[in-house]
Amino acid sequence: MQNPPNTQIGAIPYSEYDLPNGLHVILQEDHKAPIVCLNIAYHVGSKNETPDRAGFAHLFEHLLFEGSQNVKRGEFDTYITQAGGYDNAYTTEDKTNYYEVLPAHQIGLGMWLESDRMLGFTLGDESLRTQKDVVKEEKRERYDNAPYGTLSERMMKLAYKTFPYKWTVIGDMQTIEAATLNDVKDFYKTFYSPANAVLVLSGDFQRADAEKMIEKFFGSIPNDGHTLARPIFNEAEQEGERREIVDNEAVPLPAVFYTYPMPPEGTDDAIALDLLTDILSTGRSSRLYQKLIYADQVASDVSSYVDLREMPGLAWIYAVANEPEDPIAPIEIAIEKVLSEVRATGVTETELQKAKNKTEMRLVAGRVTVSGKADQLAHARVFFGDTSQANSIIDRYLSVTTDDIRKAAATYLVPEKRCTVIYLPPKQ
Amino acid sequence: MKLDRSKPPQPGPLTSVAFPKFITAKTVHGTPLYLVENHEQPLVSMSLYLRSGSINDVPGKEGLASLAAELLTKGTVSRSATQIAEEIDFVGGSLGASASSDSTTISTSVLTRYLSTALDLLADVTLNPVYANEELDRAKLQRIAGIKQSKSDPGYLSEGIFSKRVFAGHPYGLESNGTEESIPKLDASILKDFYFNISSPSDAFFVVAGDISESEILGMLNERFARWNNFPVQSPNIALPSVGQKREVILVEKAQAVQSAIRVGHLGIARNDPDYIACYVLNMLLGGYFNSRINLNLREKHGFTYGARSFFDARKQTGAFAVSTEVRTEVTARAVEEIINELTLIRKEPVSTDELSMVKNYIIGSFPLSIETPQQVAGRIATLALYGLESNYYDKFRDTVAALTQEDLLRVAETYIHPDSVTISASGDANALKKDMVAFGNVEVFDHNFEKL
Repeated sequence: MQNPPNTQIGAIPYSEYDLPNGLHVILQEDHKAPIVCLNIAYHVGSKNETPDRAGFAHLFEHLLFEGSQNVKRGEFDTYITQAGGYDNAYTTEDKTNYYEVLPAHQIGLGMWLESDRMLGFTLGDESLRTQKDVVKEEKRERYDNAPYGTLSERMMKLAYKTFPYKWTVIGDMQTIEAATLNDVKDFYKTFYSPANAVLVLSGDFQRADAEKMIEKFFGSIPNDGHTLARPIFNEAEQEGERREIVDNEAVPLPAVFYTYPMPPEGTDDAIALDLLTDILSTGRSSRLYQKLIYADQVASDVSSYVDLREMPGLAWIYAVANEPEDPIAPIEIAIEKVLSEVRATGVTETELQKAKNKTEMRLVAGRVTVSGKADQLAHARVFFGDTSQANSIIDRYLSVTTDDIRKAAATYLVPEKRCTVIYLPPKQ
Repeated sequence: MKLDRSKPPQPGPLTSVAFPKFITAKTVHGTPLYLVENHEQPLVSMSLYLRSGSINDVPGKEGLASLAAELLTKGTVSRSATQIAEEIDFVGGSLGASASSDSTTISTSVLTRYLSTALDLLADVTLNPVYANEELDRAKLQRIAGIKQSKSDPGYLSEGIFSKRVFAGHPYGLESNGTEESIPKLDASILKDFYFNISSPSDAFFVVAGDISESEILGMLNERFARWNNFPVQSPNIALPSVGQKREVILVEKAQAVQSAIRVGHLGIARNDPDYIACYVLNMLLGGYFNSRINLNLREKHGFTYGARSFFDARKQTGAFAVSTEVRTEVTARAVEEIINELTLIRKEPVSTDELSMVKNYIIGSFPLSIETPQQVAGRIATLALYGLESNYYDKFRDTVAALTQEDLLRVAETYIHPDSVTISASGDANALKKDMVAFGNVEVFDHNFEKL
């Protein structure tokens, strides 16, 4: 039932097992500082919503701090804070993650709080009302009131026509407002069962003690045995560029944003595209920086990266002009020039080694904290059903060839497959 | 035995936490070096601190320290900007230089097997920057684009005008990134003179964290920094700003805004003030963490905002105290009123024993969380060195916090929180805000260039 300790260099050692109720447990002992991280990932995100409740998974994440059977409204954060810890949560399209980092002697508190809200939770109208307002304010601050803040909403609508990635995690004002207490109960019953969760404990504890404690707090949580229907990816292949121009929003500078459909996280092509987007724009020696900012001087900022998801995600490229009156065309031409070269002749061994070094640095740096380790383990288990991928991932990145990169560019980063959103400052 | 879920389990025995040991040494010119040795991950981070920064800027030359620092990595006698970028990018590391109020920092972080490459670069950009015109022009173009972009950020506008007013003439109130007027005036000779007058081993220190020993790092640094020009650095002579006497309201017009970014506050304290820790604890309770009075009031009770916080921004010479939040336009005045109520209450009545023990538990309990990584420990050591705090400051920190009483907090609240003379800045729909905000004091309206309307 338990894995032998992992002895691979640079790897995160861990053991794992299932409780009879289906909760998957991962233990990662690490005694360098007297702290622990308890991380619980539920395999639910905005892609599990219905269109008329867009934003619900994230709203629900807020609600889960509003009280459970034995923890009254407002007490969750108070308990954690009093103990000297901190807690947070985040929701993506694919998962919802809750974690607490605590002084080691307060490990029991984390177990008690998380098991109580996995066991059942209580919610009143007042909590729902308040959290709707808080989420709507979060949307205003981070999206509606921010320059280019409507980008993700516009881009998702453009890039996905049927699959529930077509709306954003934050959702819409109307669909957030539409949530009812019955929706909340249904969502909880459907997605917040132990069998749909992964528990990772990382940090300063003794394994035998931790196993006993987990059995005590989580072992008795019932599992009603229902099966989950998960959305099936059904997007039709894109035929031709999709393009939108926005010229009535208060943005300071013209900007162009591209996305290209790409395969799910963890596939060989996604790994190649991750390295490729690094090569294109990371650092001042990268191809896009050198062409757009350094040589042509048509942009003040350029970037590319992958938005990795459980189902097919998006590779992004964007650039921002220097002046409000600057035309977009020279930017688009310059980006396409860079991409056409990569599609035709690929990249050099040096560029690829550079991207690999960068990725190794990023993954190693992410393992410096107990919460970073817990997050990498939980993520691998939720997305791939295979915790060991958290450790094998570095080798998979390091084995990519320049030929893989050229093929990935030629297959995915082509103008006919892209979606384009252009922002222009409003005419004075 | 059946599990009793009705109350939280008793905590285990409290483990004692010592601030991690660090090594203090001196490099070739006597420059202090602080090392936090830790071999768990194959990583090394290093920062070289120069003890001058934006505090050395002068009106009309805003952005001097920050632009001088930025140009360090944009070309040396033997390497072009592109070569520097390619060398550090290739090893997956980072190399950067930046200025803050009281220091200029040149930093690198890299996998241990590439440390030698990273230190070659760090030494080269420190000792031999050239300030080439071509690079400077490019940096200025980007800097100005960045400033223009910032002007559409309500938080930047509110913060900017708040600092200008509160620090009244002191360089802490200047735009440290520069302005659209100042940046074009900063030519290569001005920047170069500035930098070579602050860059000396006599006014600097190194902080190193990670997978390296004392003898290895000393050997590597001594070899690379032997030729660093050593001279005494002149520090600028600056008068401290005077304290505001009455409430005032400053609005920065932002067209189409649906929210207002608010700052409410006044002059604060210097980082080495003996009352700093008491102010830190007081502020935590008032607006420093999620369960603080101000956040619970504005976010949880009223739903005005996604979050509200307050802080003592304590720097070398002085500092600011401010409450910061973003709220819907129509509740702006009500939010300001709630903020002023909280500032009034905190200096009127002693905090409750529950509140005090909660905030102490939080700070004492969370302390080990904030020194988990060698890099975090190194950051703390840099704070000690920069502000001249005692080397056992963090050893005593938890005891100092534990000893604070309700009376201590009331005393610092009365001394350092002044609701009757706050500066209130808000960036948003000025026309909509004006009529309600006049209740707090004289209202002035500015545009996004901080020109009075």
